[in-house]
Amino acid sequence: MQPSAAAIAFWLCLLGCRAASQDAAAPADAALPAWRVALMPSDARWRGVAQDFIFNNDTEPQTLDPALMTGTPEGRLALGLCEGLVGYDPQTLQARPGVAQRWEVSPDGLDYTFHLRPDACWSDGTPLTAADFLASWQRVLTPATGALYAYQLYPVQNAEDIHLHHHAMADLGVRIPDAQTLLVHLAYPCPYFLDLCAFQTLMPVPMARVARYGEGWAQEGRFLGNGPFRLQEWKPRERLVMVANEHYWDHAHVLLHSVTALPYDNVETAYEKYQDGSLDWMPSVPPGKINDLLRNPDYYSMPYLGTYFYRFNCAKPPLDDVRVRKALALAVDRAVITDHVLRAGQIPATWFCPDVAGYHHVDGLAYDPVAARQLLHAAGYGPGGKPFPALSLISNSSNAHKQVAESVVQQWQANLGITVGLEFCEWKVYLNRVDTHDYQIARASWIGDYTDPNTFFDMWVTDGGNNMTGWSSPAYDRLLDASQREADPQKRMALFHQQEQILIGQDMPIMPLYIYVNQGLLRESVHGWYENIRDIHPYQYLWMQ
Amino acid sequence: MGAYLLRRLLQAPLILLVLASLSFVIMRLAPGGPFASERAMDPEVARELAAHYHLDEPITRQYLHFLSALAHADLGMSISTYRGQSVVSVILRDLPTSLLLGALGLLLALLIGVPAGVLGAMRPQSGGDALSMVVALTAISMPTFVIGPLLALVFGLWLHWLPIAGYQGCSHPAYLVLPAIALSAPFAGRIARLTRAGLLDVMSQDFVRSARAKGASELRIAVRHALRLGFAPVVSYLGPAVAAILTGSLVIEQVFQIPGLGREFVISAFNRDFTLVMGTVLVYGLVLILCNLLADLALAMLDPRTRR
Repeated sequence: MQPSAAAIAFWLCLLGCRAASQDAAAPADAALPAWRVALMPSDARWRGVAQDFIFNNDTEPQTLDPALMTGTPEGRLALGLCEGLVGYDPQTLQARPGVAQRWEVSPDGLDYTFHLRPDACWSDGTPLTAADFLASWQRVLTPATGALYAYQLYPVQNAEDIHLHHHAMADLGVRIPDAQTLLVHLAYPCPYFLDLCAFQTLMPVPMARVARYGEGWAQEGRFLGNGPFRLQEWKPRERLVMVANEHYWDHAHVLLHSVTALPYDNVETAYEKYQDGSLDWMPSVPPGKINDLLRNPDYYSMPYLGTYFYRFNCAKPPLDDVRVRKALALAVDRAVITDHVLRAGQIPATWFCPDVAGYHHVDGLAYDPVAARQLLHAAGYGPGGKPFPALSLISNSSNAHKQVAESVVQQWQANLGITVGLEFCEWKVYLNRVDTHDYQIARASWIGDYTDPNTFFDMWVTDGGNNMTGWSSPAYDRLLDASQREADPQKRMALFHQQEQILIGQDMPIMPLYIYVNQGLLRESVHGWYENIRDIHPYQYLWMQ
Repeated sequence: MGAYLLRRLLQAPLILLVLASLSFVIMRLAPGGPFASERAMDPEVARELAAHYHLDEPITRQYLHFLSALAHADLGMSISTYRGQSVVSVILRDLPTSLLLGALGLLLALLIGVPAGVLGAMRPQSGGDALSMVVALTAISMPTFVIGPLLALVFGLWLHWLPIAGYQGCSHPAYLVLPAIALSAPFAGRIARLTRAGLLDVMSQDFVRSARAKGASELRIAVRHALRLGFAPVVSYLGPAVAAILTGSLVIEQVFQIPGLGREFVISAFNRDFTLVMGTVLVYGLVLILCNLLADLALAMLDPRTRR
């Protein structure tokens, strides 16, 4: 299914509004690469304006320890306080120099050589070397550290065995011939490895402080980072303030003086704060206010690397029959949900993987109620057949999930004549039921961990921890394995296509509904902020004007 | 009196123990653990984490662990809400804010409720009496999650007099004004009604008639003679009320985004952060017991008949 005309018009309109507010080009600086120059202000209008940026970070961070971070709010803080070997380009998300000023990749894609800046240092001025990265990565792979995202390091040779099977740490495929060189040997060609190097799990932590303070090293007064900003004040549940780090290698081009993150988890309250002028950016908006928002020039909505879908429990009748699963998927018009229920530009989707990093999705089963009824009949249900058994759909409780579920269930009723019950439970109860396969149909969503289709396909491997549908396909597993060994980008994408074809064209263990959008409010005075598919906005490129 | 106090003080730890044990069991029975998330965890990693926090042991062992740590005043580390922070540090950080907000709310409730009740009792059935009782009833009946946003709308967004949410420390008291008013409203209403009823009850007694016969003014009679006895119902209500104000700022803390202990309690329960839940439950239990004890003592001082 194609995005509806309304969605396309919506995007064009938003893109137009945004492009007009972004002027580029920069003060003359001969040493600056062209891509960086393009991200600088074109004139001096920013001078004399207070360079203080305040945003709502949606909640209080669980931790400032980049190795332990799992959530988006924590990631937004890591982006200011820490820096990995590379950083994200604010427009394209491609890798830009970070602690490493340059790097080389071997032709087979297995060996990475990172050359660190000789002047790299922590925000207290002490030097930062390749050994810091090695020690930090070893810490992530130490089970006792409890780093839930340790799997981001698994492409590195032996990392998975070290983390899960107590292999010797010395076997890790990382060598440091000198203080400024980091050699990384991968277990398989991983085209998104640089992207992982920008992610918080792989950011360096000050091991001397970890040794001294243990788990509590990342508290105020103890925390030490190496990012473009340093922690100035952290009043939990009040605010976190970071100021430009004088010891940062690119300090001369960081225009913001301070970045303040507020922890309001009540989005209605944050919205009021935005309206009274005390916020420059809020990265999430109250869903019930969509009518107001669409009229607000500060409102933006952009496609996000995430998919909203339903899981089918393929181990239990009647959903163990692929014809029933297909009938359910065929009987839902996604555009009804995106255009009439959600109305924020979400893309109705019959596919699972959003278009990312050169991948273009495979279209799944388009809305076809007649074909749906025929399939259900072929499966033995309906007029002349057996009555359709009671089915139920579970979700965590939230207004948006309820509205979507009610629309889907109503369409099933209208198009197939079947009744599906709705069950809403508390977050942890819902997680527990999906994890233990105690469901028939379950609401689900998946947000990509990195900018590559693999993060959407590797989860469906037989018995994969995130599969949770009971579905297994040896053909799919073989294709996945092949795609993970394939270094040629085109062949790799073709293998992903075949996987998606099995997933949403042939076996249907899931029913995709739509591709997420990121919605928020951004003041016109904020510059250097770009829309991108992962909602990542490094502060060193921002300025107020 | 001394024996009574001693008995009550000795009961307190027992009550706390029962409270802690019940909460412990209820939390462990809730589905899902502190580390459950949308991202599946490798079983090996899950085992390591569980072992680190002793969650892999049988529940009786965990309970004994908890008790022995409690005996050493050790509430442990927050498991998932604030990784790397001790429960005691979280409580010490957030309790003062809740107490300050609660104290302000209580003060407001008394400052509004008592005079309103006294005025009503002096001129029962008058227009002013009726008005103040209607206002009081409205304040009692409106849930705080309605009063709070209404106040924010009027005084924050429309009039721009006060900040609508957030907290900047006690050096910026403006942030606490609206939350304190919202918090105090139902209590002020109840105190006004109780004061009025108590006073009216006392005002019809003989000693009041004597005072009136001697020519004392109505105000002097109400404040000097009747209030002492007529205030007893208010005082006995104050015990649970103080506890309710201190612990009940939970909704207010959410609406106005005040970083107090009430929010920690809710968040930690949703997160299945066992240690932090136990810590907040114990603190709230302690506050509740102390407030009730103080109220009983105050009542005994006001009315000698209750001293036994």
